[in-house]
Amino acid sequence: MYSVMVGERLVGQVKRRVLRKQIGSGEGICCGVFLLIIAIVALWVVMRGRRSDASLFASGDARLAHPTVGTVYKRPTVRLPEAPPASGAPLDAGVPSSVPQPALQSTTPAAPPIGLFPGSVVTAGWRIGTRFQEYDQTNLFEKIDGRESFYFSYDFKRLSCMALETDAGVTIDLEAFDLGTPESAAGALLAEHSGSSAKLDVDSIGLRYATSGAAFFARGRYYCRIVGSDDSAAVSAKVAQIAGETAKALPPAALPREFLFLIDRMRVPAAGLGFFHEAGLGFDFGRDVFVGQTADAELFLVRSADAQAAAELAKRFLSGFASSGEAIENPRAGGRGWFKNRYEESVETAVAVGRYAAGVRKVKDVEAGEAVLAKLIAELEKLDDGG
Amino acid sequence: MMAAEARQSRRKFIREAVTTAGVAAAAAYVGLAPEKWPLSMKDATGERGKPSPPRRRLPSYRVEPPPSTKVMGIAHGEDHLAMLRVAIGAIGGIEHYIKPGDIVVVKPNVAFDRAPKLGATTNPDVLRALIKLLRAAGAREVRVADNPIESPESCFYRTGIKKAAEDEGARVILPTPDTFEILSVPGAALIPEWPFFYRPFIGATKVIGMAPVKDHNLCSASMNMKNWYGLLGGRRNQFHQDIHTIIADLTLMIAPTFVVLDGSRVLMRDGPTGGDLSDVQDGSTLVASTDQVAADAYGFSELLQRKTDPPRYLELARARGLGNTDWRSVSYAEEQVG
Amino acid sequence: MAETPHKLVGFWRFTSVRIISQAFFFLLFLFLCFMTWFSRLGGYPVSLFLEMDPLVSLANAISTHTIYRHLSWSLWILVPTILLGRFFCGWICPYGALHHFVGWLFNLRFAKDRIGSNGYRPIYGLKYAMLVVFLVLALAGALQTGLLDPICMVYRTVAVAVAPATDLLVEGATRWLGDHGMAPAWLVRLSFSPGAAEQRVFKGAWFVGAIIIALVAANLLIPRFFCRVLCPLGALLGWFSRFSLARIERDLTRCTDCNLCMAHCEGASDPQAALRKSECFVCFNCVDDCPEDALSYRFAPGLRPAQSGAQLISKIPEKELKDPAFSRRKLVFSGLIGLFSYPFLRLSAAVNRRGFSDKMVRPPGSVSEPEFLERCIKCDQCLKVCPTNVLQPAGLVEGGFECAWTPVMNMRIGFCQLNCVLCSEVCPTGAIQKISIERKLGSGKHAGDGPIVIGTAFFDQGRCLPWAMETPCVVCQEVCPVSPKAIGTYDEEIRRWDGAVIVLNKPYVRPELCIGCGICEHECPVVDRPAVYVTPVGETRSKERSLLLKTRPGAR
Repeated sequence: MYSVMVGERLVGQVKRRVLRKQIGSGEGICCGVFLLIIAIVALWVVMRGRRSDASLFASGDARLAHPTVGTVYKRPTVRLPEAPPASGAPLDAGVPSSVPQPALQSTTPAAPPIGLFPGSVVTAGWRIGTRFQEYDQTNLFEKIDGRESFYFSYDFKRLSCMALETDAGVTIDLEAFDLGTPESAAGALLAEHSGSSAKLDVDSIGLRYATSGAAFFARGRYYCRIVGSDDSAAVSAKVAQIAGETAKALPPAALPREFLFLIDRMRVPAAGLGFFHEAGLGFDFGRDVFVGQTADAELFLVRSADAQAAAELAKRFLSGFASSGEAIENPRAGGRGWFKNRYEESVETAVAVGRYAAGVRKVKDVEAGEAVLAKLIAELEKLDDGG
Repeated sequence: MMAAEARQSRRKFIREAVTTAGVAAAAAYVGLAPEKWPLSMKDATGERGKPSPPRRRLPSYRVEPPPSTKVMGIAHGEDHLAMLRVAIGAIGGIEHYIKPGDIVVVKPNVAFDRAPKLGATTNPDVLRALIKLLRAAGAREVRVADNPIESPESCFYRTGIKKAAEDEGARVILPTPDTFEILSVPGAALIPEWPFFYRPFIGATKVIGMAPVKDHNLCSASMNMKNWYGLLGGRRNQFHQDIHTIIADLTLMIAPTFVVLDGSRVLMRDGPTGGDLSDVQDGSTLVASTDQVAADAYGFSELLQRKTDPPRYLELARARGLGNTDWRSVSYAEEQVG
Repeated sequence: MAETPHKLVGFWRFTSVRIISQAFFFLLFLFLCFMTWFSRLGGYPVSLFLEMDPLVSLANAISTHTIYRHLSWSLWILVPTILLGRFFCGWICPYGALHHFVGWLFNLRFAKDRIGSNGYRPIYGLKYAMLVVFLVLALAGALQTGLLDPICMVYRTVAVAVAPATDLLVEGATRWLGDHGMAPAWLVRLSFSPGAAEQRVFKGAWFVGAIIIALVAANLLIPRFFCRVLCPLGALLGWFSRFSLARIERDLTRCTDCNLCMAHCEGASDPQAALRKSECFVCFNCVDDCPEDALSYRFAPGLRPAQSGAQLISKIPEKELKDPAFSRRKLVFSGLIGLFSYPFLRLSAAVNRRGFSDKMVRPPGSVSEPEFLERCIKCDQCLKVCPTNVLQPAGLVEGGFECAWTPVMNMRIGFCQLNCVLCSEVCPTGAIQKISIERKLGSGKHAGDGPIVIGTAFFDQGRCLPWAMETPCVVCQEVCPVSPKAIGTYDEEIRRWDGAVIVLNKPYVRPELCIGCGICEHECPVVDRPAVYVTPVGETRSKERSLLLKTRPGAR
């Protein structure tokens, strides 16, 4: 059937017939030489193969020491404009919650909070103009270019802000600065208030004052500024309402005891209070300095870790005063040094009382100063006992 | 003569007729016989023709710890062999877990082609110490296996894992296409069936996880539980869509004999790849644990020094009864070595 | 060679040694291909055959005016060729050995038919035309010898087609035998790419495979079809062998004109006539086939007196056929073709600055594109050694005809591994310059240079899961190998369509840090058209495709 295939070879013959009859001896020698060359090539390849380029395969610890390209800014998580449902699905973890959830003393209606602010700030006629946003140290300048160093000096942590607007184009900016501590929050408010004639109140909310069309208050570690775009009565009323609602929404916190001390014991008016997180009294070592300005003197006090630290700090204040004034010989001061300030016609001194370094400045002479100082020391001793 | 010729051609005809009939009958049988009959190729529904690779299952490699031993042993120091001995000693000792003749799979993290010092992979020196202990305990064979993200050969080479393993007489098994099988993980949310690096587990009797402590961009931290990710094949890059669930699944997928958390170096940031020495801190800690969830919780708060909430996968694993998220609540021994 | 004592024919003949030589060099070639892999490379001269290929070095010398690294090894071939003739084709060339072997094994013909098939045909002059065209192109700056250079072809064929095919067979056999419990341990070691997690694939592997099949099959029509008709290297060596001192000699007094010498003539060099020196492969089959002992191989026969009675063909000057059968008219014509081909090639927009393809991502260490095209010989050794399979032969899409089979990176198939410079190590011509890992990363003593950038990653926000589909992902950020990571995220909390609140990490590229390695593209779960992809803009090698005005951190 398939006879065509029968006998056909698949491949050529394996052994070939050599037809020539003779061979020269030179041919054999050449063959040998060539085989030798092949062997040398093989040997060379093997030898070369053994010699690998170490740099290709090294794990290269040496090259690890290269300079780091600096830090990379990590933009903070943009949160939902409303808070997540209280007991609903948990957030996908991996990103820490950056918004401290305020403990709402909620008598407000059901309106959900807008970030840090209570929903009740939005009332009839007003709507959200700029959505809730947050800024941290790395990008605060985007919001308030130029002023950020002021807040940084008060230990700035975070700014939460939004804006309301009306159809008429009136806007109200809501800003809540988280400054870490009640002292810093109050300090920032007081620093911005200084020089203003607006009445400063101290009440259950905290420190607050209002100007026409704007309200400012410090509550706990938040310093809030509610600023309207005009100073009409309607806007002022709305600003006051926002301030009240926002203050209620923020966690309550008592005024720092040093402020209470200055007000209650030393009769410092609220407007005379002050707090410097950095560079208090103009000294680089003046950190967390409380200041109280009365009619005839300026009091200051700094809480230290212990009595020894307080004494050292007091010494530094004295030497600081010495650098900008001259010592006054005064045997009645009981060895206490008073300095006459070179630039202001006043005298100043510092003492250590328990854990506090304190002092009196801007008094007209040593006698008046000694009187104020005696009272300060007496009251401080009581305060420190309590602490 | 005519008769003979006629006989010849009749025979030829019969032979050809029978051949033709036989071929036709065989074709008819193969194509038409009911599916259950032998040699039948009939496939009326099309289902028979679909490939159905075998599904594999992993046994539990757990060994009940001896009574009244700790769940977790923590050793601080620089001498890895001594530290490992102390840490494993606290959970019952290597001899309790490894019996002579055991075939042990060790799963380090070799995910990236990185120098060991960069902390992105398991410290080869710690691996060396573990293999020494395993060999001393009588393990017949130690297999070191991982399915890296970058090219397997160079990952094993440059991380020093290959040399460490082979120096100590362990066998490195690289993931090649023929080493993967479909694994069934009953109860898993995402990987009920998934390609798995199965070759090293053929005949294995014990499994030990050995993960470095690393920052992770998505799930916050990568330690023992995330380490098992390196045994998956297939389209594993989809798992980042639900990273916490997959890590909890991985913990369900494999029940190791115990785990060793390699905190000798800690990749603090830029994880899980790292790449800069400034990202790495000395941890000087090794943890052996029969509860990998607790070990990871320890690594998260103590080695990575994170103050935030622990990653959600820990909680998911705890909810499935796979371990404890509060490492302080489990029994542990902590010791400074050397 | 020598005329003195004659023995009976034994084993120590030129033909026996030639077969050993062919087998040796073919196996050496396969061995070197086999070693072209991370764990085997060691210090092996894996590109040896390319480096001793005179056409590679000549064409490179013409196009770049330099002889890169080991290319001077080609003198080991060129100098003996001038003395002995085209012995490379018959004794060393692995591609020639393949054709020789296939023809010997499968081309079964009767002796008369075989004698007919080994006669000289005018079409055999075509290879000289190819050579002239290629060299003129090289002079203009477009190196195309690799299209037909047999060494480049055989390397390319192994890299793109044969090695992956072998791996596929080995893997199948291992799996099948493994299922039956009898896979031998050595089997996996036969793989060309051991430890590769996935079967290696190459773009256009079918075409490279089709070419080798066609050219091998052509041996059944015309023996040594490729070598006789197309091979530009053979043409070059043929032209050099016109000077060769040694040649096949014929004693007319013994010759009976039986033509049996043509029966196994590999080069179709007419040993029965005056001998075409430039066609002769010096295979010595004719010497073996002569029943009258009329043929011999003689060194400088013209210098020696003829033996008494012998009438040697070389002593008849008018019968000397030294030069290739390639007239000056054809030479000029071929030169003109080459001259015009250059603008035709270069006018393709894809190889020009303005029409540059966004797919033309070259491996790290590559010289700028015009220089690259002066150097790359399409041997695809870089593809062979690349551990991640990212290097692919360019098709017509990436760079048109001129770039065909040159290496481009396809990040969907692989990615450029951070600590790897193997492609630069094996490149014989310096199209990918030999660089150290320090140079690639811009570390160590290269800290001031910055890393080598091969491209820049871009996000396709319409396809990215977090950007477009409210689905968490960021595998890209996880795998980004540079420190600090070149991919950052904008984290945003959203209420998803089903009401659940989730955090999306929306990725973005920090272009100053991105080196274009493409691991993000490779690992992107949107596999068919990844949501993050690398294009060559910003590559270090080209100022024309720079992206950023400012230099990157760490760079001078």
